[in-house]
Amino acid sequence: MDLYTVAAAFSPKRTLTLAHAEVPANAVLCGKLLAALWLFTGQVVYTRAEPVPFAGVTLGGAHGLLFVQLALLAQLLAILTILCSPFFRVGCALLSLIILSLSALDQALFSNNRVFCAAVLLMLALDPRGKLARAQVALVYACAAADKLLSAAWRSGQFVSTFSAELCRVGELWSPGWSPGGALPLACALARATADSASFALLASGLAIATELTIALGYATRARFTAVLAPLFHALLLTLTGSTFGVFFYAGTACSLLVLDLERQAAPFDRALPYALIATLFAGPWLRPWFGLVLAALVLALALRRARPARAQVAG
Amino acid sequence: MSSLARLGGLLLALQAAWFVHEQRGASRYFCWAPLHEHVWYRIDATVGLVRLRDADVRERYGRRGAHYDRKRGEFWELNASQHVIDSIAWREASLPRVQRARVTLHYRIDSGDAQTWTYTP
Repeated sequence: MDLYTVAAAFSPKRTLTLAHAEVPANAVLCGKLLAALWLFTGQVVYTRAEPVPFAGVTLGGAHGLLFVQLALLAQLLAILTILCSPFFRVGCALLSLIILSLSALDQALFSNNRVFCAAVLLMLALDPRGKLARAQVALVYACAAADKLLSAAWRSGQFVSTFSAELCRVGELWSPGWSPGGALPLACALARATADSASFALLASGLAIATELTIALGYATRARFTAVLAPLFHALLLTLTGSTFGVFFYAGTACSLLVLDLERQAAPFDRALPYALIATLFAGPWLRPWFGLVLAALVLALALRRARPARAQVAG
Repeated sequence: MSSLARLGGLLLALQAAWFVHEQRGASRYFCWAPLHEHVWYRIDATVGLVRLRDADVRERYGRRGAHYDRKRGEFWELNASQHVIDSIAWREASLPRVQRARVTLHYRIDSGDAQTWTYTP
């Protein structure tokens, strides 16, 4: 294949196209949403001219303004490949390797949410059926739950109680619609409840861990309820903390598409456009903590809409 | 199963093994441990005779994701506290000896007891 043929295959019309020779539509949509959200939430901007190298070992040439500009250009090229070309898997592999490399080069840039995004993209590149990507997401939630189970502060409820108290005092954390210090009524209610009752802190802690374990199990078995539970979990986190935790809110929600058969969804949710519109609604600087409640309502409404015809079929 | 899918399976197994490895220490790199702990901290750093301002400290150690509380003069992060310690030790180690800072980190994990860690060039 010559360079002209490769370049001619790129077209903006492909952005909302989910048809792919090897990859199912739900996996394509998940990858495209991850790439687009990586761009629109500003994750592509790598501005650390002087990194904090892991273990103090600096790689020659991997710093400075030129490196920063090249990193940005390479990410934009990878995103363009995912969104606008038939070379979806190549684009996923490229973007994933860039994110992983930047995370490994700069300790200050390491965050679970960035690596999560990279890991899912890498698995989409390695396995076109999306099985590995689902296994990857299952592993992430299972490890998150196991880490909490192994932590004394989580087991005793101390983390939940002190975290919610600090959150109530500090106010909103970091998100595209960042308004530092904005009130977080849900966090304050949780802080009051956990301060009044140690058992409530224990219960809240246990619920968080149980939810993560259930989501992990849901991804591992491709259970449809995961497409409802995972977005609800992230919607609650957004409302509670006022933060998207970088790209975690978006990646966690987009990955729930991996358990669905997109072709079997009722119109218009069998196509990319409604998901792109929802992503746009949540990715802008207008995002507020209560948007989490909007997402929760939307997900529940869609789940009920899907459940109703299924019940009618059974009754018929 | 294709060789690429086998590679993916191997990567998943390695992640699970790395998760177990990281549980043996205080850091939580690449092991899927969001909200492992939260930490309030203050960094006193001095290069030669010059004490660094909090804004300089934030830039020097790449703690831009941290929340800064002006009243307390402290940073708040949802990372493992070891990541803050590592960022100081590794950044200083990457600098020429004359540019390195003497650093004292005062921190509290999960709003618990105050702890101190120091770095001497």
